[in-house]
Amino acid sequence: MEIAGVSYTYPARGVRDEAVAALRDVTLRVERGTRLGILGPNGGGKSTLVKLMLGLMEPDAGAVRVLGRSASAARRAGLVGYLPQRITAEVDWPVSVRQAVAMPLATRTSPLVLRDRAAEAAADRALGLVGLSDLAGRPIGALSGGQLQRAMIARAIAAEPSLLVLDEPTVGVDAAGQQRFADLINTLHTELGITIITVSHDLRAIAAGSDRVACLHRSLHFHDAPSGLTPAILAEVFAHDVEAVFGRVHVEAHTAAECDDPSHEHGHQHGQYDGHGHGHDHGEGAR
Amino acid sequence: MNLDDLQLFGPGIAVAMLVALLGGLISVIVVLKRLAFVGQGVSHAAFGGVGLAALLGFNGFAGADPVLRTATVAAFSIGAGLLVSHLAKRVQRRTDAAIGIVMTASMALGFVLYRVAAERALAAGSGPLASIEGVLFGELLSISAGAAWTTLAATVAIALALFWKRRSVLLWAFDESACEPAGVSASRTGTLVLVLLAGAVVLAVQVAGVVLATAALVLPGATALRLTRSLAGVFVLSVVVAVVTVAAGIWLSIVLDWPPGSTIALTQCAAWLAAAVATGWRKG
Repeated sequence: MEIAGVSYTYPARGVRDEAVAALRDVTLRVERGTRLGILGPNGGGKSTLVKLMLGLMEPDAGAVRVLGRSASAARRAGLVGYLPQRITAEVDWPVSVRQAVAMPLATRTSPLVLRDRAAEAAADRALGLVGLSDLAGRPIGALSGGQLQRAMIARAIAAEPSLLVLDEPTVGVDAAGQQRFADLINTLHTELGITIITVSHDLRAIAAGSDRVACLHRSLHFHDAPSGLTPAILAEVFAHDVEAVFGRVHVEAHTAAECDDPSHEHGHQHGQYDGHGHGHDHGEGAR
Repeated sequence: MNLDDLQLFGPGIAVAMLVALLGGLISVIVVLKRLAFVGQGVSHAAFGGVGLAALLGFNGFAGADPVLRTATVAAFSIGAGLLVSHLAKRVQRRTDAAIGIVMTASMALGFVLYRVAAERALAAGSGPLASIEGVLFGELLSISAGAAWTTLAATVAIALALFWKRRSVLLWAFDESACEPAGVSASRTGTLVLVLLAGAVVLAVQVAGVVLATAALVLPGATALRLTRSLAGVFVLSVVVAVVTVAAGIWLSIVLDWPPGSTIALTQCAAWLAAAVATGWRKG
């Protein structure tokens, strides 16, 4: 996947609203089979970047290419799987887990085919990969929260996409659940050789399942292995929110040359991140 | 029932059974996707179309008038449905408020147009218009053979469209946000469902009037969903419930000499009540 010089500004809605620059000149190249983590604070443009990667919006400037196609063409061709942040499926429906997982894939089948056994078989394969084979015939409403998320991942990979985008996959998940999730992502990566992009504000979600990490706060900052993330870089990305996000992790003043981007203004124009007042010199480092 | 009765009741009964078949199918989507209020809004908006048809002079019970009347009401209802969709997406941002606005505007406009048309007809000496009561609560006996054939064609068209797009419609109803990642246009699918629902409403209005038409488009699905936990089973059972309750409602209306539209609606409510009690009331 290739993102080249992409900018996006949300236009003002009505006279009392102001246009909001969500992304500025973001460039990113993701090789096949990579596990990329995109780390950034809330309001840093992560969701906007996800929508651009899925081709749900067109950038104001620059271009997004997925496997040599436009992002929307790749999505329509079933090359991109997507796990949304919130599960919005109607879990009180009278459908089995298998039916729910097969549903998006089945929309590609001719309406003259009465029972879509190919989509059901694909759903069973995907459920096997996420460890839910035993529950395929259960009602979707009978699953626990963690199982439901696994079912949604199965749904995202049922069409055997080349790229899987996970949007804040571990929000509200405890540490053990996050580890199980990371294990699952690693299994999918090994079994399918799929490119996985995880977008999150949570460092643990990113660190456990990524080969490379990009920091996003309106513009893209850093681009390396998770071990290259220093507290200073995190401080730069999260501004003074970093303590609230990472609990006991203390951070140094923002001195990291790697993240110094002269065009980056810490969102001053919106007054959300002032970029100051976060200098703790305890040097414990990030977990 | 002798031959004369059959000629009198025949078209009405045929239309009622077609509405039952279509209502059985579409009511499952309506209940699962929580579109009951949308259906109620569109059926009340149909009153605007009734007023417009009266003003345009499509008031006869034979010839082209019934077909033109149905076409006018259908166009008005579908237009009202699309207006609701536009207002909810772009202007008012709340579907219930958009429905409330379009529903009341259409009802008010419909009544004004109807009164203007009635006074013109009186002045021209061309006889009274169909009663408001029939428009509101249905007038099975006034359904002509032409209207029955139009209903058959429309029922087949709507059912075929639903069948053809069933997988996209189900995905849209189950998880709208999963549509775009799967390459299905959520807005186009939503508009299609709205248009098909508006079409079904117009057909149901002939049987049960603008006030009661929603019964046929909600109750069979709601009843079936209490009785089975298989998706295919819900659709089959919903159609069975719809056909049986409509047939029972017509029979009761003949035996008791009650108005057919209201009797059908009450029979469908009774079936839902029985299913709700049988399945433990709070369940489902």
